[in-house]
Amino acid sequence: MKVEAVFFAQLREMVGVRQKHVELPAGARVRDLVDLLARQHGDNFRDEIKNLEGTRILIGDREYFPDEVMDTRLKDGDQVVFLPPIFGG
Amino acid sequence: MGGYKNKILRVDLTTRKFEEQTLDDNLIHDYIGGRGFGVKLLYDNLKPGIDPMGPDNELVFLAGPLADSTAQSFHRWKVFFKSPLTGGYFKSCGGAHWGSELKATGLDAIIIRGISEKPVYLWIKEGQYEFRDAYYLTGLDCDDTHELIREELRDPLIRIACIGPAGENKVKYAGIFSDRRCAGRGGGGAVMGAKNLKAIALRGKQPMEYSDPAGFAEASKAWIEAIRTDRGYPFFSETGTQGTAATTNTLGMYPTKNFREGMLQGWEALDGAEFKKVRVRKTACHNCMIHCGSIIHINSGKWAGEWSEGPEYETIWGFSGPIGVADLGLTVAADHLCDRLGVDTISAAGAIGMAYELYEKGLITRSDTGGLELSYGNGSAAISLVEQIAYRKGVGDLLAEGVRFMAKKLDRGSEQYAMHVKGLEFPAYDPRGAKAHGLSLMTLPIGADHNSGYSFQEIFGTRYKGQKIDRFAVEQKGEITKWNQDFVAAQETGILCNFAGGYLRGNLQMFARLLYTATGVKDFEDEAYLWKVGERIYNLEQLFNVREGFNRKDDIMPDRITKETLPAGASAGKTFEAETLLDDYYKQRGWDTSGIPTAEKLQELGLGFTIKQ
Repeated sequence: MKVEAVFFAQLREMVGVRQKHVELPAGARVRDLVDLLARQHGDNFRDEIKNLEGTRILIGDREYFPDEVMDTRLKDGDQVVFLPPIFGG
Repeated sequence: MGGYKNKILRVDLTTRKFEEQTLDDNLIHDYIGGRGFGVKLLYDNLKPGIDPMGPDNELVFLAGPLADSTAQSFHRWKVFFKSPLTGGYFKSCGGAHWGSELKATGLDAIIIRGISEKPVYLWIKEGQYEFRDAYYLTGLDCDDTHELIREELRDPLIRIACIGPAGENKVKYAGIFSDRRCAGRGGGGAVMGAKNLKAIALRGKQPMEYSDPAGFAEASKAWIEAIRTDRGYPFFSETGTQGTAATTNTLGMYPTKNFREGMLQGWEALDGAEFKKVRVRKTACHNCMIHCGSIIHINSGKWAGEWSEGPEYETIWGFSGPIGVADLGLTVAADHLCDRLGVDTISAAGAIGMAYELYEKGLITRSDTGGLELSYGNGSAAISLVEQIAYRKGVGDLLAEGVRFMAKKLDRGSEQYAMHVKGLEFPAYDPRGAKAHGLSLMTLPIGADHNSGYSFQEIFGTRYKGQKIDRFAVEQKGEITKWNQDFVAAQETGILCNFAGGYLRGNLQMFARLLYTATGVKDFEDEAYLWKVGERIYNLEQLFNVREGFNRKDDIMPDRITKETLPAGASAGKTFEAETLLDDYYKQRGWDTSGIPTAEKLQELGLGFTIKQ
């Protein structure tokens, strides 16, 4: 299946693009997506998501903290947004 | 005692007199400085019911006890006054170098009252005070005012806080500008304009003194390390607030078309990465490692040649969401224009956003706008409106009054389109997407200000006392709002920049150590004492307004926020449960159900002097 990953702030800088389409096996979970992205862009990607307090992951319009969503199964066509905290406005 | 200069300069513009006063020891102990001094001086000096534009209103300019020290990010300045926009207590904060320069002149504060017969500016240089003729500066924008005063006084390093044409024309939300940073909100520039005061120019070299220099150096080093090693620091110091549109649009709370929608189509064109592409260099206030600012220059397209220092997030929103267009060049052009003419971008955006909706609804027409087509997507019309506002030309004369006054003047059912609290226009956060943030906007004595109780927990997902927070939940939001508001009040005793303060995450211990080693006041070393002073300040601000007749009726959200839902995005379907949230908040504050602090609470906070006998 194919999902769309969207990145903001430091995660966008780390990945180098705002969004990318990713092929995953059917039944893959969010954890599998993060592992794939970490293989492609370095372990820092996983580390930032795990340790940067305030990072949220949105699937569609529903938002989660990373530790709440890692085991959630994705489906074809899902959009997964990685939103780190920015601190200021 | 270190930290303070122990000197306030009182200026009477009517009698053209200067008077030096010393700081009262009780004022220092009970209020620490900054926002604490500001509210206490204003509460003591202003009689209830005075005209904000009259001679009895005062402008209290303040630097904090750590301004001009070697510590990072304590060098902004504040100005306090009764607001012509809200009719209540107001505080506004500016940056650049003026705050540290004020301390270097040997002053902690300047208090200005009266009205000058002729346009003047103040020239202050270490114990020398002058009224100078400002006739030749009349009508000049803020950039030219800075340049000409420096030329006249033959010193390019003079620091200046001034007003532009908007302040002179008493636009109700005119700001006070210093080197393209500003105390923008609440109409301090209009108060200066009403006093015929064009600028305050400063130059000083008086060194800062510390009670414990070695201890302060150590505390300052620890403070730098705390900021530098924060995981969020590298990105924020690189991008500043220009990255925030990504958060608020993704969360569906980027106010669009006068708060009817929560996402702007095409907002990606306004992401921080796009601003980075046209950035010339980074900028910072005096001695600040955050360096949130940036010089942006547009090289091609419709806005080629436009530049500004900024825009920051609020202005990016102000000239996109309200007018339904995502055009980076437009935000840059509008930012510089507002800075030059001396207009608060947030309130201007509120007034312009309301005008666009009134136009759509047919409540104002092309004959009212002088032919301007205020249709969504027409960004050029917003630029024209800024000029009309600053010079009070055409429909700009109406918009210059702010949205609350616009609705009153216009009537025709327009009240429902006026998005404000207590007369202060909303900033760039839809309260339906963050309930504690909205509750703070609704309850702050100064009105809908985002900086005085920012809900990091909801907007940026940080934890509250180790706990994850559901941004839509109503439960516990009174407690969180009080915590956020008191935290900011405590850190603003040192006029610590909120961006740097965000890295404290509620741990005021490092700030307490800096205060103690600078001043030598033992109580300042205790974090719990700072929290208590923060709450004391907040309650005294509320009491200033209570004395002016404010109560629960003024802690009110527009019907659009409480009754209408957002149609799409990650905050779709939500409303704002104002009454439930407000009841909880008053209870947490120890106030009665009318929003008035109880006698018991006032005694607890050392504010018994405010209780009527």
